[in-house]
Amino acid sequence: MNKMINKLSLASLGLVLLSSSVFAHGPTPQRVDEHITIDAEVATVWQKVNAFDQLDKWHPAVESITMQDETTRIVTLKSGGEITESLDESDADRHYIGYRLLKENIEAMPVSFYTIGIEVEPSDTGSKVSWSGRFYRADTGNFPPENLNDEAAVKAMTEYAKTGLEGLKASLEK
Amino acid sequence: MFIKPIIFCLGIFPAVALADDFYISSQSGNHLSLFDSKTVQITKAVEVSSGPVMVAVDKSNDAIYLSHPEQGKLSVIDLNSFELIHEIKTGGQPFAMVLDSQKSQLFVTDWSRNALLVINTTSRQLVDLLAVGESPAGIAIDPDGRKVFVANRESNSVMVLDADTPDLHATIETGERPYAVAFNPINGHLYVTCVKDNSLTVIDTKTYEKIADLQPGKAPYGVTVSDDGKQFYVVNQNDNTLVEFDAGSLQITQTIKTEKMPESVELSKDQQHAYIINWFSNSLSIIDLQQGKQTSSIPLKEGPRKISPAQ
Repeated sequence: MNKMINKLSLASLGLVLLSSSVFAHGPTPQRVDEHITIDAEVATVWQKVNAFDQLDKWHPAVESITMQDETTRIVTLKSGGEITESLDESDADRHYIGYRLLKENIEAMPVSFYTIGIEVEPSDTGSKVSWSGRFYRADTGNFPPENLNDEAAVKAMTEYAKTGLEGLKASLEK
Repeated sequence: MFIKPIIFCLGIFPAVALADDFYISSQSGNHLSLFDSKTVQITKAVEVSSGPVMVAVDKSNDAIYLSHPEQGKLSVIDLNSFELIHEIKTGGQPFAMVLDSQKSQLFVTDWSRNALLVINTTSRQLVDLLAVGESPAGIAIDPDGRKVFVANRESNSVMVLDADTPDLHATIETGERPYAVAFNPINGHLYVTCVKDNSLTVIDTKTYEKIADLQPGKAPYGVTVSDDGKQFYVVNQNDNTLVEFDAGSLQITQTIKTEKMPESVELSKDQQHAYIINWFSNSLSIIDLQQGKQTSSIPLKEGPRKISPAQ
């Protein structure tokens, strides 16, 4: 099993070069659209969501955050590997943050590009948080291997969003 | 009793009613839909080959071209019956398309081969493959000036090619990750949306110079020009807005809320409405430009990418 993983990793290493120069857009953009309700006020939830450098405090899949500059974070994942994300906007009126993948790492997350928005809205029981966005598979060529295709990208991005929202809820409903 | 055959005749010359028709591709839903702007309804929707991205409507050949980058081919659909009549195997990843109103040719950008493909629309043959910059995306044409404009997404540039000969006239630097382009035939300006640095590059196509660097909003995507050339319109994917620019002053004259992740925009024949397809919401926004707001929304098949007029 370990050998298998090593082989896959080596194969994806070669593809890192390929996909970063080919970038996204030829392939079909994929979506993530996850929601959760949290028993906490919007202002309280927003404070957590808006702290771009504090993702590791509530996302269970994140080991640590290192800020490269004010709007760029390096996310070290517990599963290993780093991805770099850049903050596009933080709208305190709308309780919305938008960010994008700046530097891909298809071994850590099998996508070549994404834009994600997290929004906090009031709900009957407190807040509703949505995690939505658009992304492209890791191998943007027309013949992606199974671990770098649309399905792999959707699975990884959906799991990451779900885990994140559950972690956020857990951190606020202690 | 005499009336009947006359009505029937009108029926077989569909060009009469086409000015109000718009064609919409849904990439994930594998659909081509017809939006009749007169009745404000989707009047036809057919399943097509997988992953259609861009749409070009060729009235002179009664054909609709769809690009399928992931299949390396174009579909040729009959304009009236919506049946598949031909497939053009291009290889590579054919993406954006523009028809030449002066000549039977279709220009297609090829994302993965860094090429501009030339298709003869009479013979339906690929007749030329020209080298352009990296990952060419949007394309526009100046049919009278005989120039084709290609946005090279990874090279951060626009190339100006000759529409008749394999010549490159100029390469002009743009903002980061240029995506869509629109040509204004009235003032000769070219508008280029740049997705990464949220800018819009304005190029004077007579001098090949960049004359302005505008800030339309976050992740500007589709762009279109009014028939009189006085306004141009941009949709911002991350702001969920439509922005109207005055083409003379280059100032924003209004900002209108759309639904989620607007992708492509066109104006109605009378220029009073904007039709916007929203990628995330899977919807068509009907915007009243006088009132400055969305007046209705129509559901679309999943992953709408492009709306194209019939005219």
